[in-house]
Amino acid sequence: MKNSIYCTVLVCVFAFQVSFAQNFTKQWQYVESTIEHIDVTELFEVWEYYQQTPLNLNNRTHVNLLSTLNLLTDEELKLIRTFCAQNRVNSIYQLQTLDVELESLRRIRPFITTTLIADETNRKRKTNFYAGLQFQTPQRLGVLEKKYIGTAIKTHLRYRTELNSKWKIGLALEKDIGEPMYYKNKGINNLSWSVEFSGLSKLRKITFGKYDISLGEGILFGTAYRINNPYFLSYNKGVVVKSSLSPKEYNYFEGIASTWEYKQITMDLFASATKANGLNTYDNTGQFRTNTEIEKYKTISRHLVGIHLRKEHRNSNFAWAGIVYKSSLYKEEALFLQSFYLSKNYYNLEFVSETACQDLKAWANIQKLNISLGNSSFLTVQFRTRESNMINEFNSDYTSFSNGYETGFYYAFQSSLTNRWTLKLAFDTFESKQLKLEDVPYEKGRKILGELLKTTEHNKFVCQYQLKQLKEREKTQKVRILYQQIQNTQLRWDTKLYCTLEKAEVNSSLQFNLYWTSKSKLEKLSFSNCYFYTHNESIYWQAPHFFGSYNARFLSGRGSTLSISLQKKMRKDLKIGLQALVLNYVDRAEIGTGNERIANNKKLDFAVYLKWNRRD
Amino acid sequence: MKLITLFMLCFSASIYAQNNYFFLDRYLNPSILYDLNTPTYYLNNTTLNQEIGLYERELGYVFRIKNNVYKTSLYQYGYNKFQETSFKISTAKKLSKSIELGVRLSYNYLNIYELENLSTVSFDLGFGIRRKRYILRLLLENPLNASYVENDLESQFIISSMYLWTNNLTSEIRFEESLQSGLNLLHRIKYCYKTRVSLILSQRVKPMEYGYGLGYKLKNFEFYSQYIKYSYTNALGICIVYTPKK
Repeated sequence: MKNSIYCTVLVCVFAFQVSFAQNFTKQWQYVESTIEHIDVTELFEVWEYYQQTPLNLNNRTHVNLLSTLNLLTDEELKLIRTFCAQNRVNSIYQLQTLDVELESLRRIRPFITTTLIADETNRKRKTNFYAGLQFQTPQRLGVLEKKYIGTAIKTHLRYRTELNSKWKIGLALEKDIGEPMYYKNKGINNLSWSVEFSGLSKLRKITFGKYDISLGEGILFGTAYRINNPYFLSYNKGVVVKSSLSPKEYNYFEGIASTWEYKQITMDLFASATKANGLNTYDNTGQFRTNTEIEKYKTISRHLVGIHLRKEHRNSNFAWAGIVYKSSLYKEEALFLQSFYLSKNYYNLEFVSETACQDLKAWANIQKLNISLGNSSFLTVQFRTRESNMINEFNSDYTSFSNGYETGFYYAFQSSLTNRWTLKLAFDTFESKQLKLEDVPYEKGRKILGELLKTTEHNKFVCQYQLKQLKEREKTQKVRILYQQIQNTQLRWDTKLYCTLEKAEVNSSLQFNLYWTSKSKLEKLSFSNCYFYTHNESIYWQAPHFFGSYNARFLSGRGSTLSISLQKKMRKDLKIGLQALVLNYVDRAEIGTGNERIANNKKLDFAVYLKWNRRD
Repeated sequence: MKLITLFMLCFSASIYAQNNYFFLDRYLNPSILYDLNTPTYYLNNTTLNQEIGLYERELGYVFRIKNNVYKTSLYQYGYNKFQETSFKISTAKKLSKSIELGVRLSYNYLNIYELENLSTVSFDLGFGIRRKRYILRLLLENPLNASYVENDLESQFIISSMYLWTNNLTSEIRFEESLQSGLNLLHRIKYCYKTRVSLILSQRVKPMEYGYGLGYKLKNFEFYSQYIKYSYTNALGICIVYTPKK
């Protein structure tokens, strides 16, 4: 506890400087109304990164990175990419000539630049610092009985700055409730760092520290954050290596990576040496609080060396990646992994293909055809396959069914019925390729997804329906209804209804969120209330965004939640936030089991943060 | 903008002025009070099951002190061997032109003949937001889940959206998430003829229930009757509302 306070105070003093402040209200508003499951901390990490390192619309690679913001629809991305490839862009609002909504442009505005690199020497240096604390009451059994080694407070510190136009550094430290700040013989708990150098002739960028790798469509490597939208699968492309200060404790790389550019060829070289958690299998829980849990902390060594070559033409891209990967978990020789990526545009058609192989023995493949139909309709057809012995440690979630060991066919259609109404339909069928006992047949299934969306200046209505049918199993149906109203510039509210029907049982939750901003825009208040009632399927609940907190839960049983948060700008550069979140069950006397047991049917989570943003 | 607001206020006020049917509503949102004429007296009585004499009745008074509206009522539910009585006081306040907040405090008393006398205090929070033709109301009923013994007092979250199609026709969809019975959906249509006669049709989805009501306005009195086909019984109710002239 003392350590965390000293650390906080020390870094606070260090970072206390005059600056500007940026909140992501518009962006958050969009994301929350369109996507069901969001990892808030990861997404904000991405936005903060690109706020500090804006994407240049006159750079083709940067334009491809727009998808990583998760703030545009597939159709808008395609329009912008095509436009930027053919025109010099002087202002983002030039894109208004396309069929892209002004609101969409405003959303991506903080992350966009149109100036050339030469002009960037004049731009202001940005620094941000964040310190957050969280705790809960009543305390868990592990804390009360001192089975947890660390304090009962979650701490998160992050600092990122530009030393000059070429050098950027970042440092992040996070510990969960019950975890110690320092593990004996294993170092500091969840420490991330990165140093980035950019803009030296052909060496575009060199990164040291923690980073993500995303290749092609992500069937081999796709560790960068991507919103997993179960309704409409969308893919990132363009970025290969991106430094990361995310608190995630798996699916990341640490070492050195560089990006080189020569004419139309881009080359990425990367090497990583990390220690993964787990003993006989990987442990992705990210919680190491007791002696037994700590035995699994950073025990598996993973080494990787790779090269990625990409050649870009006006309407086509080709990329190849070769990676040597060794994990002590396999106790075998190193694996040689390859990825072949191709994308080709032809008028309103776009074809994308990625094939990955492991030692030329196991294969995975995805092929995609996108067709723009007129100005307002979009069709995509996708085929994917993955063999059961293919590595899947780092692939992204490109399928809504399982871990990816499957052969599947997916097609989706989106059309603007009127200026306000949009219809989306998606169909997915799959057959599992997971290794099975001889007599057990491969699992088969199909999924139908539909979305009806109405957007006006002041409100948004989303109705989503999902039907999932696995062979010889009961079907699952899900309905999600969202209504969002912007009452005025100060007040916004939304209501959400989730309803899942499984084995003729209805599982539901009803939620109301209210957001209020003061006239001076210095204070923000949010209130959320949710009642849930489930029989056999958990219900997803997400409280209003609170900076740095993962505010989402899967709720089971019967009960209600309540959250209130206040965020206030103390000065131009300094922001403080307080949040209280109450979870109340009516169907049980205590919450959780084992060390996580709380001897009460209610619990209160409390979070506080301080954030500085500086520009000079 | 002012014209629109004025129209909106007049429009929604007229809807309520000619229809006090909601006094028969079991889950009256306290934020609705702001729309009522004051003073108003009402009495409703619903027979839920004639054989065992199961009833529900309420006697209430709505009044205004300065700019705040208050309602007090005495509510009873049960039959001769099981009787639940609640004394309720509610108030509503307008936070802005389009936002209303209401709160209700209830003292609940349960008498089980020759067996048990139990009591508890609960509160409800109501919230109303209105647009030009649209009113959204939220009701947090007993959010702290106060109980006589355990989970025996209704605790639920209701979101109701009412659309005003014309001066005479309104429709309402209501989602109810109860900690006791889960999700339920109700939709209701109300039609008023020349501000004197009103007709209400309603349907509930889970379990499937339906009902209709008829209202008539005569000078300072309004008379309402309703029939509801519940899954377990048939209910018949009447309500008399008296609004003295100022």
